[in-house]
Amino acid sequence: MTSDPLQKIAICGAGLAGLMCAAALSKILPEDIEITLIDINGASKTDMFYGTATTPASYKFLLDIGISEPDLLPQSNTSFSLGTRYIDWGSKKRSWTQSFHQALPVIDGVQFHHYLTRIGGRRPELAKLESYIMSVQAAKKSVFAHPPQDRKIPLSNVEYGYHFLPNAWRKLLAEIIAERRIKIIKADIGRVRRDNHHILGLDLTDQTTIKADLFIDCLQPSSILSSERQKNLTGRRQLVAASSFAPEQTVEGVCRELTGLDSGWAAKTPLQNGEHTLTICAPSSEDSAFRAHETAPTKIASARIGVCDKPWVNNHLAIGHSAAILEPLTPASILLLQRDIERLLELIPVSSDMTVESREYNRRFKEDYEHGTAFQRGLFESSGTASSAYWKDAQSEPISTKLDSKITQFQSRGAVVQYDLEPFGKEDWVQLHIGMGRIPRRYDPLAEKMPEERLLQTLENIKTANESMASKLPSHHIYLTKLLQYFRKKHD
Amino acid sequence: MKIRNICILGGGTSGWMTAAGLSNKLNGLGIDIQLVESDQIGTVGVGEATLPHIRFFNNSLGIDEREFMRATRATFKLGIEFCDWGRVGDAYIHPFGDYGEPINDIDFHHFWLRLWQLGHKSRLDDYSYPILAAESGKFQLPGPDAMKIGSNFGYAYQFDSGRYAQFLRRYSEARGVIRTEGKAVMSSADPETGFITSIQLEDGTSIEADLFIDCSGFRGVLIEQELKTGYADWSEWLPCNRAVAVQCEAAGPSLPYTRATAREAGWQWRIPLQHRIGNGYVYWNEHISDDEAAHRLMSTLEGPALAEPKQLYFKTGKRRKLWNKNVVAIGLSGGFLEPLESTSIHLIQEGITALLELFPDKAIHSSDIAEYNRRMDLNFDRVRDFLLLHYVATQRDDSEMWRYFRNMTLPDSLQEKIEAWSHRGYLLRYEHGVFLPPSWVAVMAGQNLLPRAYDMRANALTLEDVKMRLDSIRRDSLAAVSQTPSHADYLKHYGAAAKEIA
Repeated sequence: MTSDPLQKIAICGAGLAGLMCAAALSKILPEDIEITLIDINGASKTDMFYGTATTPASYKFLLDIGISEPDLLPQSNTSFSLGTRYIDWGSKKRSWTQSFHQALPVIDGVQFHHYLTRIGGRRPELAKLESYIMSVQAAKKSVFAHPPQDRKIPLSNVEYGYHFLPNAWRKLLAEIIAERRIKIIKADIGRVRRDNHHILGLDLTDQTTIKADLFIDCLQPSSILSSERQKNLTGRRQLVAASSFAPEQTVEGVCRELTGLDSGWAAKTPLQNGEHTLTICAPSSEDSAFRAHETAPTKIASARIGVCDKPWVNNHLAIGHSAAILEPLTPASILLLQRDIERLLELIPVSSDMTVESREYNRRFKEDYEHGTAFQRGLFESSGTASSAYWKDAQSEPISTKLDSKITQFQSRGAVVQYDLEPFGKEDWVQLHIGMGRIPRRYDPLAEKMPEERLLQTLENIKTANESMASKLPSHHIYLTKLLQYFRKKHD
Repeated sequence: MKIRNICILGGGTSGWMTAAGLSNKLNGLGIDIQLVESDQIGTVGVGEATLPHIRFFNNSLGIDEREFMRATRATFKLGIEFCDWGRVGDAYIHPFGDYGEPINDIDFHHFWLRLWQLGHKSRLDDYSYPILAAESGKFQLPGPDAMKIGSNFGYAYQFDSGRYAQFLRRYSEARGVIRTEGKAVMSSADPETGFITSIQLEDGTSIEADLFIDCSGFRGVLIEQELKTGYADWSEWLPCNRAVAVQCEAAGPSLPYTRATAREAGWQWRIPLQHRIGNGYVYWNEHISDDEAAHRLMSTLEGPALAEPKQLYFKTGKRRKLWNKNVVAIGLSGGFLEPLESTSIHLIQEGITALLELFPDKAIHSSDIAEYNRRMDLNFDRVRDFLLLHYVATQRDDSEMWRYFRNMTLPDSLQEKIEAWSHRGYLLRYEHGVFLPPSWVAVMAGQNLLPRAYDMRANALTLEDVKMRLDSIRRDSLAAVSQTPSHADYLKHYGAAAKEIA
């Protein structure tokens, strides 16, 4: 390799981002790289903004950093997630289930949703996308089982993420890395020694100085560590998050329920032993948002939503909230944190010259966040009457050229415009557009070729197969309870 | 209002591929498709070598592989051999398949580089079944188990593109495409929209249509001569502007790969078909005269020439809008990129696929045009970068042309790719575009551009473990090749050889 290989990495902050990053690096990097985690006060202050739901990408991500379901489920109150049900969403009070799902069928070379547009003209009752998505049918009945491999079984099309609490994951991650080779220091940063944009060392409050080849910043934006480039966030909105937890014996539901409120929204997330409520609102409407909690919220955080333009400058890399904070409206927040870590793993510097690594990291970061925020922005109208500060601010956020093409193409002809390596796939976008009432004006002319009788039969078959499958599955609660019993028994 | 008539102007490979693709998919929708071509106008017969994607095209048309191969005198193709590109005397094969297999999600070449840097040097090619099979002139179709070596590679064809056009003509005519013999001399346009409403042929016939596909070749009769769309000239990056082509008799059994040999002022292709070999010299006329180029070509033929050499003139680049108003340019009318990586037919195919996915109404939406052009621009740009890579990832400086490339400022998209590879073996990935990371590895490593460092995660495995895994892949690949029949025998037994040849 090169003459001055990377030897020391310092992770600053032991919030969710810092702990995940530490778990990933200690699992995947060779032993001779020294990893220090500095547990700095307040690093988890904005963790609520990672939300409570992940996408199917979490399964592999966690496995890669050394956490399998038998580690995860019994120790972290985590449950399975088939998606989010949006209720009374937006000015039109729309409701739909945004589920995780593998590719919808392509029939005779035509994507499935075009057939629904075709049939919708005459038989609107047959054009409901949700009837044909196995994940949605399972979510509606609150049933769950791990999807099998056999593609003939409708359940094999289901994908799942997790419902989680940031503090429960922090606890689990802290236990895991305590057994790994990471040096953990509990102290605050007194002074950052810099030479231009290069970090030379951190003087800690315990009188030690930390030197490293690469400093990974897992604090908040505008922390003592932040560089000028990282302080420069794109967003303008300030949001307040509040959460409460209601313990329950039997928790039904395998889908997060997110209800639009005048003040913003409230999400109810079913976990193993209770239901978690998260509300998001503009600072001016806290009182009314807090009323959406059954008991007074126990945790409150406020953050400015936005993305910085260069997370990696010289030997200083900002990941997670130190580089970007998203509204926890979709699983984009946690998905993009995972992507930050994956991007870093692929680009662990090979020498002290990090020009190539930082440029490529920043390029991918920019694209990922551009695509992720487009998905979130897609959940709001572009104009219309807004009732409160939250909705007004959300609607006045700009629509990117890419999002504009996606919406225009879908509304015009049901075409799903896709860019390179997007965090959200075709199926996510089709569900989002249709959920938001963006019904294509035309459909693929090739969809016309299927005789109507065959089309009706095909639709009926898919629908019946899904319903019949859903009726055979155990409730999520029972499935999870039994799985936990099995994991625990195996562990003993 | 729906499209009722489509007029394809020009036969040849692009015209008949378009006719076949559209007639197959639009069949039964009450859309009339006409194709106008003139026997007086020769076709260029772009690229006789293809990429694996053509199999999807043929499959979607429901074409039987054996029948197609017999009709077009096709051979199988496992990749392209590049001679004299990195340095004079070098050779490597760009295969249709990966090198080795990723370990813990880390690309194979990092492990190979780790051993290389420790002095355990081996050919990267030895971990690629398609390369090893090609080198020994062997071929068989991939097996059913995609996890196994000898089953997870791609393959394409080398064929007679004139016969392919004929084959697709029969296919299209059987599906209702009307062929009209004639030469377009004039067209009429709607004064308000500028849409072409009809074209007039030499004999006075007028053909009206809602949508025109311009497959008229370099001239771009509708897209350029009528609509004045404009051309993005890329000859600054890819300056070769002429070619001379000739077919010759084959001397030995046909090989399952194409060859591209770098020359002082361009490069020479060799494409083996069942019954002959296609040869051509692509060159930059500032550095070699037409006569010299023709002489050079003729003097390197391995068998007697079957015809007089044919001269071609071109300017590398792309139409500013591949779809403009109600005209879609598919094939050479849309742009030209030298056939160094067999992309001509692929770009035709991409054009047809995108057109079908964005098939318009009669009142063509500007959003459909914009999305089509965005997709196709991306395709062209990415192919351009990949072609240019061959000229710049080299140590050659033995002629004016090679020195020209040494001093070139590259497009950022390419520069960053090369830097990331050279620095640490990292590949900038994309999803939409034809050449995937293994292709980039093939060319960069094949032209002696080896990274200075590799992904540090590759050090997480013990050295013994890495050696063992690499050895086992190499052994398995060799074993799989020893079980593979010769390409010529396989063609015959598979039933793909034309009768008069077999």
